[in-house]
Amino acid sequence: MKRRNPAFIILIFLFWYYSTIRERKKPLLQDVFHKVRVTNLTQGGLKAMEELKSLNHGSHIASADMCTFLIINISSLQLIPVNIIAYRSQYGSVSPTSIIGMGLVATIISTAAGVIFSVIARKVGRRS
Amino acid sequence: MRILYYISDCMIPFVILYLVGYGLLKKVDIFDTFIEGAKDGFVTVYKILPTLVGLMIGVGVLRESGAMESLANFLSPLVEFLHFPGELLPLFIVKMFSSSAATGLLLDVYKAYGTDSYLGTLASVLMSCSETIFYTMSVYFMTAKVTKTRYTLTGAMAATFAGAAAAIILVSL
Repeated sequence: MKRRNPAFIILIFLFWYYSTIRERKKPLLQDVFHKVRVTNLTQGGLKAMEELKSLNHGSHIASADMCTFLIINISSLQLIPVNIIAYRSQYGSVSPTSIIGMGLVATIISTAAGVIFSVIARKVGRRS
Repeated sequence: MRILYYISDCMIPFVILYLVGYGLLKKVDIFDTFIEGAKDGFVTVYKILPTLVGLMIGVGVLRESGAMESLANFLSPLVEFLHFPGELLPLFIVKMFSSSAATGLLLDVYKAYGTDSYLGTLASVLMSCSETIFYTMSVYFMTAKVTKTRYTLTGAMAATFAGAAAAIILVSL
């Protein structure tokens, strides 16, 4: 029997987790974080952005929440880079999936850096 | 490996079945909801299209005129000092603007150096941990009509550079 890929279990967990989100009422920023992680779809993201704008009284200056949202959205966690793996195998890689581990660590580090940056920027902005 | 392909093949049918099944379970009028969502999709396209057209032209001009390459050439001594291979610099820069253009460059790297070489592996990891900063920022901020973006760009850059540094260290190990 083949060893089950851990990615499979993670995916099932994610589907279960995301399917329960709608039931829960969450504060906005947390909801925004979920949106980023769930879909990363432009449409959901744009809706979140418009909600944030109305919270910011329609100002043309970005609120701290908007900055955090976009930074995290841009440095998004990518669990399995499926298209890159497909290209690698197309171009004759010996082990196309060998990059998953490294990619995962790198994407976690980049998202962590984004989170840390926005936390610090928020504190600095509040002080001044 | 095989199971991963299997999952990615099943993914979209699974998602669609899941959505329809969930709707049936919750007794939602699925078709009407779908029509409404499709309408929303068009509104989104309509809203982001002007930004998108501008961005695509900008990237196209930068690439075809060779400005991107001369920028990469100009910066390559600096980045080589940071152990970042100059060959991958165009890829790294283009990825900030356009994912599809970066994919073309990635395939060029694969063709020139092989997928399992140091450069090929590093390019793959870089592509899987970075995002299209300028594209995402312009679409989101233009749609919300926000002009002062404050520290968003700095933060996104910081995150991307942290990811790139991590990729270089991980691949060199």
